[in-house]
Amino acid sequence: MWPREVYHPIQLAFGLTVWIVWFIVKYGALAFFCEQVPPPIEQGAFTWINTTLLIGSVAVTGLLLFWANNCWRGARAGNNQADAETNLFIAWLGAGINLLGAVVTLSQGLMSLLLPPCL
Amino acid sequence: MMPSLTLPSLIITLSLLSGCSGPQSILNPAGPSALAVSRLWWGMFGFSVAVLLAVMALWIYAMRRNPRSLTEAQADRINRNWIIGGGLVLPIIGIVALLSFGIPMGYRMLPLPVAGQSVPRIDVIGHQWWWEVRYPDTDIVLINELHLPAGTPVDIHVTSSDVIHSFWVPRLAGKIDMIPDRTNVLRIEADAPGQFLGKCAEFCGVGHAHMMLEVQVHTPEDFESWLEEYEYE
Amino acid sequence: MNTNNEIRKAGAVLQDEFLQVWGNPSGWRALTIVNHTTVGIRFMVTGGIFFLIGGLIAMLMRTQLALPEQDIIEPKLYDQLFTMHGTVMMFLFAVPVLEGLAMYLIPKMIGARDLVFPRLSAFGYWCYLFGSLILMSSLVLGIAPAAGWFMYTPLTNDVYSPGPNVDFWLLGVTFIEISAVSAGIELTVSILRTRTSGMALLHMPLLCWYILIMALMIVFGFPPLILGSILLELERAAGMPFFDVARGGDPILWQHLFWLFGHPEVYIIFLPAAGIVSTLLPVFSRQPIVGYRWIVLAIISTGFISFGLWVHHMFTIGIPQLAQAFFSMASMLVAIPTGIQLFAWLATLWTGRPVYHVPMLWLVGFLFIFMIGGLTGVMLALVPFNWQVHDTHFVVAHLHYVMVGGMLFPLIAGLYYWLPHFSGRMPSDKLARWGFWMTFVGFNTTFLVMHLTGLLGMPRRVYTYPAGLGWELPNSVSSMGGFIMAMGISMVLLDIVLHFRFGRPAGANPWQADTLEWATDTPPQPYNFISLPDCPMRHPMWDSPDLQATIADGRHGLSEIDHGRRETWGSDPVSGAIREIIHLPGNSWLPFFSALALSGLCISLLIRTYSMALIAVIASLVLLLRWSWKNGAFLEADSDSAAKSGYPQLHSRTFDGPGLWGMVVTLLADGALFLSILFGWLYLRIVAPNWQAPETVPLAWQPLLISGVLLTIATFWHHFIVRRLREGRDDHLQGQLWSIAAVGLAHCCALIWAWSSSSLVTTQTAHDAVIAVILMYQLFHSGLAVIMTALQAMRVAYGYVGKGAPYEIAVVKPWWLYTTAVYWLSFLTVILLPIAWRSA
Repeated sequence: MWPREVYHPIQLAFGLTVWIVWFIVKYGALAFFCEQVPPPIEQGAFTWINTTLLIGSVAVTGLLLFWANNCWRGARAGNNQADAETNLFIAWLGAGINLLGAVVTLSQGLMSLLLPPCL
Repeated sequence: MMPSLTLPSLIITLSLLSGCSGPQSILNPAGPSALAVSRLWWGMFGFSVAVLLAVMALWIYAMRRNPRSLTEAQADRINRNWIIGGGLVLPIIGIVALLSFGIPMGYRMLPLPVAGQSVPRIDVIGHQWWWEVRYPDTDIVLINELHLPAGTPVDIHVTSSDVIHSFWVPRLAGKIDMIPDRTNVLRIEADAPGQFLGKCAEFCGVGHAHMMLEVQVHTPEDFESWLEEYEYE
Repeated sequence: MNTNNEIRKAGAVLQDEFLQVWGNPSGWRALTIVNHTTVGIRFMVTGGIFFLIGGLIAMLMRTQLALPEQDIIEPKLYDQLFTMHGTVMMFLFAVPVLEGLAMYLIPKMIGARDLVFPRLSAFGYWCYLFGSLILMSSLVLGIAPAAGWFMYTPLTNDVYSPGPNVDFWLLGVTFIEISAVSAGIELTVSILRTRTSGMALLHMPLLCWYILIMALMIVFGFPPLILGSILLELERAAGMPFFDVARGGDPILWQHLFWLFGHPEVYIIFLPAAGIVSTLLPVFSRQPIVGYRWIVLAIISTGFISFGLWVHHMFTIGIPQLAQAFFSMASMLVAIPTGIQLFAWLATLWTGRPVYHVPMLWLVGFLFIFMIGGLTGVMLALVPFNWQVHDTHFVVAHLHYVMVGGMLFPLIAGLYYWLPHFSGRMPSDKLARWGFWMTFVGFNTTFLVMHLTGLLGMPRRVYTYPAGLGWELPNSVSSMGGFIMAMGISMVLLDIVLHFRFGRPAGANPWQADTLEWATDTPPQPYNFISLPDCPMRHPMWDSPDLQATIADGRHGLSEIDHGRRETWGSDPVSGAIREIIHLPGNSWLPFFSALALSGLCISLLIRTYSMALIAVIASLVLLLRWSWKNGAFLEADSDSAAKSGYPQLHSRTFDGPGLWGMVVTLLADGALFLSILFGWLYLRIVAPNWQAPETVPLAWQPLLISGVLLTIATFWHHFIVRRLREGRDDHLQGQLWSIAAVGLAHCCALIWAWSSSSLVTTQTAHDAVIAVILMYQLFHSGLAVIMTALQAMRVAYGYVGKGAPYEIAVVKPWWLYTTAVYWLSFLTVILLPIAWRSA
């Protein structure tokens, strides 16, 4: 799955870009659906909005963890190119960025378990 | 290091002893929301002071100590422990602890429906630079004063007729902004009868400093009779 | 021995020759200087003066607040003072000084001779200076902005703030932001593309990472505020409603745009300061920084996360709790990268052998103060606590702990550290220590008690307060502390002034530092290095201590100067391998006069004399076109430029020079601005309480479609000629460029036709006003594309551009692509989306 190349400098920004895009989508969707079709207050946190957001967050977290793992293996394995040192540096950072992206995505996602969506 | 710290800490201790009980003080709560926040503050304060002192002590010790010579592997291990322990584990524990108090607390402050009880509503409208207080279902309109029953939650519905203001009675609850053409709701409750001060908290122009609100809390019976009497007048 | 002497002598001759090419003129012509060392120092000195002015304003406020119910300063003036204090400290001091420091240091740290767009540096400085003078003049005239540095509407619209006060802020600050954004673009490209041979990403000094991320944050973070300011000024001056709730706008949109900038801004200020800490600590610990990779990870993630927490400034406006919780969480998670840095620094000290000098004192002070600021920051991120202390003096205390601790203290540490570099002399130890302790004690006395003042319920931005609320004592203490701090700062200043006269000579590398900036002369020559060394390592000065001498002797690369060009290496952004020779422009009057013309525009908009504004626009346009015409000195860049064997080409002979990178980074900033417009459009549509959209789309789709097709044709055509140039073919180049410009012009005309035949009434609804803004934005970009392409056609006619020098045409290509992308994206969201919306 893209980006396959764990030594590409795009890795320095990729994981957290995915997070921020998901964050924008999530925040926008929440605002939109609370304005258009707000679920009844009595349902508390267990509404279809929260469930959807939670499932989405878990999915994005899974993807980010998958990418982090890819990068991590790249950073451990090494390669035989001339720029080996730079490549390992980038893969290590890529693993960190993807992992942090996953941590932030998941911890924000878990908020859907605790609070009603529109109040 | 020490002489610099003694002066401010002395001052802050003295002021703490003398000053928490001010008439507009967050640390002198008179309602459930404000009480929760003031407890939260003391908890966070203690935790923060402990973290601050620990990190400062470590830092100063690190500067003064005379390190034995280390092999590269030993140094690497020590360094990694510091970064992972201090940079990852410590903040994550702190955040989880803080949120496990904070989120339920925030939840309880929400204007959720109360089972078997209808929460009375009061409308407050901000003007440059005065407060218009209306009791729906009655014709009562007050200026710069708000009357509440003690011991029952009340929903304050706020809005503004001109610029953005913010409704805030520090001893009872947090603040909520008053925004033109929008209505925000703040759940507020006072424990006992008494007089409290409210203040506009969002800068709203030249008169901002003087935009104050008198809050009068009655016993529920007195409140009922006040309502009737006022309407009669 | 003899050969060594010969080399020395050759070095001295080289130095004279380099000064002929790189030297700075004096007298009036000093206004033409574009060199990064001079411009950086100008930024820092000017920013320092504004710091003193901002401090003076703070002293006035503290005097007024020292006792309850004082009327030394009336509320009208007090409101101006607190607005200007925040504005001056943020926009006129913190950002410019850090940019100045970065401009001064970055080329020296990466082994380059200058920043990559030298005339842009000078232009940025003049914009900053003139904008600041315009803004400050309002304070002298007594009509300074008085609605807070956050300028919340509706308080700042023409109903509640008539008069020019708010306009000074909107126009002045936007003008100053030009300098911030241009510095951001320039620093990004310089760091990525002009590192010396072999300096791969993982060899960069950490400060370069910090500045790179800061620069990119400026590129993405400033456009929302620039857009907000433009919209608010349009609302005030032209009556177009964006924030007026009655006509379908929303004041909360302003808050989003402001804090979308405002929170990243805090980290834009903090990151370079943390970079100073990461640079100084290892030098004084006598060992490399611990956890280089970890720190880079922390820097990047701070940069990203700081864009996801702006709403924590808006917790009291009634946003749903779940949404608040997202931002609360992100705000707290910033503690992770900050913690990583704190403990990497601690570990550096732990396993190092620290030595004590004055900068270390300031670093310890930084740690203490910043830790407190960080801890109260985590508290404020907790929503229920925030509801209580938001907009109280607790927040004032918090933000000063973050700003002064996180920016001023490291900055002064850095100032002391690089003082020998600026002047060649060492500061006095004794006076410096006094200065530190007075500032430290004064600061904490002022602001530690201020937390309590806030907890006692004292709100912000009140010019006075009644007695009897328990606020008297803490306020008096704060005021006293303020004056102690002022004395401390003046002592630091005195020390710095005196050291120029009495400081002992510093000699080479006085702190035994590891980074390349200490391989220049102290004070440095404008060209920094006579020869550019290979640097595939993190600590060049530790690994080869004689580097300064060998550089000065011309024993490394690119030491030829007889061609009379200003040159530096252009290198691969990742590996640092040399790719081309970048040929830099020399001193010029154009930046100064362009900035002057723009400030003329700014002033005429302020006094609403639109005929004068038109003249100023034309003047700036002419000057800027002249600037791009005198693009480098390619005319003189003779064909044997790659004379020395083994040297790469001049960048004008390539397709991937720094100009292309500059264009792409500029378009990133531009894209951030466009996305902010789209955000505003969608936001108002969804949330504005009185949003009114007409039944049918107010623009006819036929002319829009024609216009879009024409634009797409022009873009493809341009793309096509660049591809042909790559294949080495430039037949009919001039004619094709003219034709592309003509098609572009036809596209503009079709767009204007669509607009003029529409039913838009821009002053009636926010709906129409936003569409008008999108149309203006499109026309601006399309028009500029046409002008640039026509200019290229003329340059082909003059023989400046062609097969041999294809560089400029390749630079224009992304602009066409961007303009087309923006067009169809706007078409999608403005025309198609509402149709889909309605039919759903």
